[in-house]
Amino acid sequence: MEKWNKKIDYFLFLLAFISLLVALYLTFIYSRIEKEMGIIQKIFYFHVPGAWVAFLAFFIVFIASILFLKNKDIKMDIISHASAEVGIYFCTITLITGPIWGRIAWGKWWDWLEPRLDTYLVLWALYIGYLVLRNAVEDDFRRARFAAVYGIVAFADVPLVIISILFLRKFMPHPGPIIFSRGGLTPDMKLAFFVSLFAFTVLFILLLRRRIFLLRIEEEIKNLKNKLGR
Amino acid sequence: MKFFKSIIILIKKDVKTELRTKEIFTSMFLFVFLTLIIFNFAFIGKEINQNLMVGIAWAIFLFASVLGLSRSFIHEKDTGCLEGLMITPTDRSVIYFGKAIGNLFFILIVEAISIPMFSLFFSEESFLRSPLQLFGVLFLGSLGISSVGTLLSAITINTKARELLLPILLFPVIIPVLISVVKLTIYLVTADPFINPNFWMNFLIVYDIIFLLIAFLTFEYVIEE
Amino acid sequence: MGKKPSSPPIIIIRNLNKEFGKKKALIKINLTLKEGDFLTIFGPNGAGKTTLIRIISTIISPTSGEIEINNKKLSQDPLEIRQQIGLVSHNPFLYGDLTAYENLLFYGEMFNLKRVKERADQLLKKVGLSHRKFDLVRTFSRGMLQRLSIARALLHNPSILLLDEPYTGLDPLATQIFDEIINSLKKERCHTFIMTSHDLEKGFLFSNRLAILVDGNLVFETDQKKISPENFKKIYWEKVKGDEIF
Repeated sequence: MEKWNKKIDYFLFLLAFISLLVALYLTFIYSRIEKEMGIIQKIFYFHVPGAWVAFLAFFIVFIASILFLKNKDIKMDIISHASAEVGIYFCTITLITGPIWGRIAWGKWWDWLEPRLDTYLVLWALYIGYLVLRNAVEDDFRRARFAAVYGIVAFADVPLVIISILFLRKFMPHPGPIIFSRGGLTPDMKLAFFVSLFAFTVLFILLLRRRIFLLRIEEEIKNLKNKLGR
Repeated sequence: MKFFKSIIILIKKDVKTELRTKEIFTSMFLFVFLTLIIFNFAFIGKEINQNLMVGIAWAIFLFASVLGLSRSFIHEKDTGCLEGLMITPTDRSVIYFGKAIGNLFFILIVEAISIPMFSLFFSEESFLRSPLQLFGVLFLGSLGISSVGTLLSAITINTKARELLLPILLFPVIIPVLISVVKLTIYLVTADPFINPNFWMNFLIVYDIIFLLIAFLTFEYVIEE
Repeated sequence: MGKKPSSPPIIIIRNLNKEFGKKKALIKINLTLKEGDFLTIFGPNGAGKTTLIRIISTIISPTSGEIEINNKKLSQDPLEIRQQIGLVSHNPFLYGDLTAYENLLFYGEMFNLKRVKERADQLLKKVGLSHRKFDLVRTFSRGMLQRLSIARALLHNPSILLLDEPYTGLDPLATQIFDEIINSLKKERCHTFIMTSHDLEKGFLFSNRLAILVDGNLVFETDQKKISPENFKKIYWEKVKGDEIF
């Protein structure tokens, strides 16, 4: 089992490495420079996959949290912990690339009228809160219970945040251009985008598995320390 | 039937304690009052339009609610009374609903006193134009705050940071409520034709139901080890 | 002592396990108590005594295993079982901002008792706190809190009384009063008691059954009559020290 896990991780590493290289090539060399927006449009190939992976990560937190409360299996807690941490990184990528793009496209770093940015900002705050909560509880089992409940609350909040932010602007004229409109993608851009999406997803799975592995080892060390300490 | 009776007994106990100590209510009310004064001095000489005023009012209500919410489990925790409640023959959710309704109650009273005060200080009578609808909005909004807040307060009371952690966990979750109550209140005050009040009303009701349900299902995992 | 040799078992604990995550707090606990039994469970801090009491009083649920009380399963009918059980812990479970009387009325109402006021008066008299009836509990001494705590636990007339380290923080006088209350309880009704303690002498005097809990394991269990205090002390230290060396 342990051996297999290692093999899978090596495979994932190779796959992530190669697909990321290919994605870089497709993004910067193969795909055309978009006429209206220019070179800044390339950010799209990182921004959107980052957003997708963050969402996937937080969904995993949600599912693992439910499973933890159901079976009280600490493994599920480790999965949600790892997934939230890795998800935050990808969410941060989205939050950094978004304003960089916005600076060029709208002439300002942040546009509060852009619902997707707002949504990801709230998402980021929710899961930073999740990690802060984990940090604030000493007892392992109690931490797992609290985190699981908050993991469920946070994810249930996501669709509500999206809806409310979308409708917040519904009857207001939107000044900036609508970013990332799907119709505008040419086949070469599509290829670059989907390869990048794939590469990001593989990278996420790899990072998630490594983080879970590390957290398990930390657990084990703590258990051993406890045994020796008494 | 016994379910509701136990909830009422619990609320009665909390109200009695509160009437005696006046801890929560006084601090919430003074907070609203003082923040209002601060805002007035901060904006001195500037025209405050109605939209801004509504936003300020709800932000203050939210902050004040956190004060009350973070105190709501203190009495149960400090003397171990939560366990005392857990050995009475009632469902765990009785404790949640008792606390949530009690919190809703405190928040509503503070709001009910503050709103005329806002009208007075900002010389703005439009706040009180449609009191019944306004109460509906206050009720649904405060229910949202107290339904999530009570659950999260039961969590944060058991952490190292205690009160400090509650706003960090609560604010991002409560954003949909804040957006919809602000929209609805602006609609009541200015009759803005771009706001669809039915949509926001239904949205708020859905939000409240979702989080009451989640809290109902998960509360026992928060208090039971 | 109300012990009848042939009375049926009132508490049956079968293969009880409790894990907090990976930490095993209780391992395969088996115990049977008859009506009128007074069992004292000894053990060092962190042995799992409080966890066991908290499981029996339905505050927390076990990971596996079952407890039957008066032929009712704890996992199926916790509300019914809570009617049978009174719990006195080192925490009094009393509200400081309510009076002694109000505290009892509140808990009495939560237990859905009829004639709560009479019952509260009666119990206040029993624990010798009638004169402080209308005083805020916040002003009570540790010993008075613990006595009021007994009154609180007895409100619904439970057939089983759980005492979790009830002597913690009591001064000698308070301890003596507390002893008297327990002794009178033992005499008047067929109460069944489970007490946890690390005070060997105290537990030995009260009980007819003794048990030792170390690291979540019930390592020793006996009738009090079958063993001398000295012998029991020896065994206790063996079991506990054995754990420390390991």
